[in-house]
Amino acid sequence: MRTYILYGFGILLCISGISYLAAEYVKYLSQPGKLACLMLIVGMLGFLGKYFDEIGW
Amino acid sequence: MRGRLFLYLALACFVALIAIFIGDGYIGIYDTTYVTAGEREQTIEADYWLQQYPAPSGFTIDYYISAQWGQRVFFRYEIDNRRFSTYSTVVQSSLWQENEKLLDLFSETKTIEPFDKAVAEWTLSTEELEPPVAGASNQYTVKINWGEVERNIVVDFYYPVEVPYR
Repeated sequence: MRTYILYGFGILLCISGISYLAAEYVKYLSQPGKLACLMLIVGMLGFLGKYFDEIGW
Repeated sequence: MRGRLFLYLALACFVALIAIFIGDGYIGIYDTTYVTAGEREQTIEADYWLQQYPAPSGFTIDYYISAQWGQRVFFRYEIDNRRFSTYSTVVQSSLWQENEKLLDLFSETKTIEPFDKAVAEWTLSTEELEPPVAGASNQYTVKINWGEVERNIVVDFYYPVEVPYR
């Protein structure tokens, strides 16, 4: 149970960190940079989902 | 083991995302213009120009401000060097109307240390301009040049209206 709370806390920190950085710097990103970011976010959430699927969530 | 692989891939995506934010979004040279006309200061950040470039061919992006004839317009121009090397450039500002240069407002070489800023300040005063003629254009373009960058700020002068005070 404690592990899951830590995972949840880590995910929240990841999302809030990305949101903060996006709000701060995304306005200066080039078009290819924005596309790469979008693909990486999709990849990151997909891999996280797959990870939780693998450990039996 | 396979589960961990997905976790590491997710972490790699996160690290790559942060690297793009820093490398593409933060590193570079950015400019901010502060224009004060009357009691109002307007800030033109780098993203105003970046979002609109590349402009369609033969079309330039301008920023419009209005000011009262007779009042001075103050410009403060900030260049932010967010790179690991020193950047040196000549910052020039001039006043144009109908594709004709009227005045040089500012010209100075600025050497900016890594992750430091340089500030240039100048004033546009209508005392240096020809008095307005009825029917003539009252718009002037302040061009700011440094490196290959050109920023155009159109100043639209309006004339004070006499107010019947009691």
